[in-house]
Amino acid sequence: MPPSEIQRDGRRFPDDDLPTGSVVDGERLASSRGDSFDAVVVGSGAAGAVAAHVLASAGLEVAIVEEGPWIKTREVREDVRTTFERAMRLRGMQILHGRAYMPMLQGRCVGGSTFVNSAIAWRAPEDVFDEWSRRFGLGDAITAASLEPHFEALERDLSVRPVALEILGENNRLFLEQAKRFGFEAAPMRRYENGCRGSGMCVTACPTAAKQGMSVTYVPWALRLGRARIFTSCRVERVEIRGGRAAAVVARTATGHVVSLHARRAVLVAASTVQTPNLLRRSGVRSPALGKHFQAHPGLALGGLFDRPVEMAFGATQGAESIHFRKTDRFKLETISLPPDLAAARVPGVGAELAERLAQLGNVAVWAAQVRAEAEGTVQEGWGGVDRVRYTLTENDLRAARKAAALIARMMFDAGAREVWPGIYGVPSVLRSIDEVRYIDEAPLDPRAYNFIATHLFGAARMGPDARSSVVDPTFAVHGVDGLYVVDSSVFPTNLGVNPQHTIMAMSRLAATRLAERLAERRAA
Amino acid sequence: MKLFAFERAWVAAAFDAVFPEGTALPHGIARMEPGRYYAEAVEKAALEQALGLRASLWIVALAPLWLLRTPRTIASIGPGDRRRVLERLLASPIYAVRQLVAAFKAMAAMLYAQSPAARAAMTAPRRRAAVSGLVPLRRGPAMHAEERGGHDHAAE
Repeated sequence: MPPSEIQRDGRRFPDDDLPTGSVVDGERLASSRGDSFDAVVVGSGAAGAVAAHVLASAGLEVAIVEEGPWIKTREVREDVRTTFERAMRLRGMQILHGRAYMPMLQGRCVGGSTFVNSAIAWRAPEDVFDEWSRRFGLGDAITAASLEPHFEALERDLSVRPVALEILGENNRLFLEQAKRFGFEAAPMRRYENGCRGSGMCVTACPTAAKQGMSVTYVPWALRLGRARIFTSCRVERVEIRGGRAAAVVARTATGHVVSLHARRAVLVAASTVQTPNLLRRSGVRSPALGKHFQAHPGLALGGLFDRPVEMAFGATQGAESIHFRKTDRFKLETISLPPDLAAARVPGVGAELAERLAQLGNVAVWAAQVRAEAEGTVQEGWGGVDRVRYTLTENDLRAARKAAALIARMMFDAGAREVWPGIYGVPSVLRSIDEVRYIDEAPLDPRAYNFIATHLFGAARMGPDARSSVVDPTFAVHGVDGLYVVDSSVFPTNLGVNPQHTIMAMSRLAATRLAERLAERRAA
Repeated sequence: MKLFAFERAWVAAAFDAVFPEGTALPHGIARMEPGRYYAEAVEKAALEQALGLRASLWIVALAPLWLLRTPRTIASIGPGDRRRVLERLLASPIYAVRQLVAAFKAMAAMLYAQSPAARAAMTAPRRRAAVSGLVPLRRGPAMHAEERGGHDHAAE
């Protein structure tokens, strides 16, 4: 049975009509090739796309190398299977190893995870930068003030705005109403969007290009400047470091051919927290801090079945949130409208019981918590070159998750939920009254009891002034290697407690802007 | 990595227990070629993931041996028993078992949601009677009904 087609009214999208020759498709390349650019950017997600656009805007010739394919807006389908198979790393089956296994979702396509995320824009709170400055010795290099113009530019470029009332949807509206009843602050999310119709499809990519992901914004914008080219479906094997300087990027296409891209001035790695450390390792970078201090925001979601329509299928996929508990309890609350493909996996029961509940999915709300976990893990390359992340949550992290889950359950029952599905082992799979939420309060503090998903990833190539305890210096340059920069969230010394895309882009924009200025000064000299 | 024909038959039987015919949803999953779908997923997955998919299938397929104490596979027991086996696996006190079987159920859900009719039925709001008749399951060490207010069903 083919996935259903989506009507698009014959519209043209920003990822249509790209300049001739600006896209080299590694799924079609029939022979090996070499090219030369001023800068080569590895990765086309939030960090890579922004950096490439900044450098191309500064007059540099730029190559972007992306491991995955370019999935155009008109190819977007509404089912999860089709999207995951093509757009997600390991077809959506990537996992973190530890005391418990945790699915880890990463986009692997042009736009990276911005292709399949909910486009949530959060400036990292000032306490994060204060901590980076104080504990990690970043001083004045990375501050809220230094990032301010970059946040502003990004917000302008990507049309950041709060979710409009007409596309808020009941899942989000109900959450806001309940937060108010429970006496804590919550608000509609601010997102990168331009003309959102509330199709509730952020997770399977936007069918109308209203979501301002990188594949419909900075990547095509960079290509249209005429100085950038993107190599898609090309997996970077290594950065060639010659004489202590990053000289080239060597990639292999999906067809098995080698693409060698000479970098005249710089290589910027933006391959993500998991792939960047392993790429640096394969390239010969030897740092005692490489692959250490991996952090995440593990998320868990609860479903609530109501006697009235909630219609998750309409409205912003994620449209309401609260950071009220971020500092005190280390969690953030938010809504998430799951498509039936993903929701069905989490609904209790099998057979007739499952079907009965799924037939009422239109009456289900899903609210979630993401924990600002204190746990740290490691990123390594396993046998056969696979990425291997080891990560186990601490008891404090589990306590935060449990408290958040109990709060969500109480909010749902107070809103009139007939059933709440906590998805925690040791707690009944179906709770039927607010009194039963006490079972969540008593849930075991064992990571194997919870169904977390890791989406926000940080660290593993940490920034700092000391080469013994960090991988890159405060100018984003890899210690001891000229011309090699890391501009993704692997340089973050800590996690944030809020959604990271905005801060990732701002950091990358700052890094690329400073690099372009330095290169211009050298040219002038 | 390829699936054998008997493994495909196991998939068909087990998926049918998750989404059978004659429920509140428009049709069962059997008509969507689950064996071929799962075989394709195993074939295209990376080694570790393919092994996980295969392990989850074998756990489900052979579970009647120790859960029902009968020398049969999932494909050779009745629909009621299949459902009971899956429910017990999803609530297994052994972490790896319940996680792998939950992944197996997720695979079924991903296939089933590809049906436009099923998708429409799952997204349209409707009013229904409360779900009743939850199946009593054997208790795991982490969950005792007496301590949990009388609930004694799967904690997926």
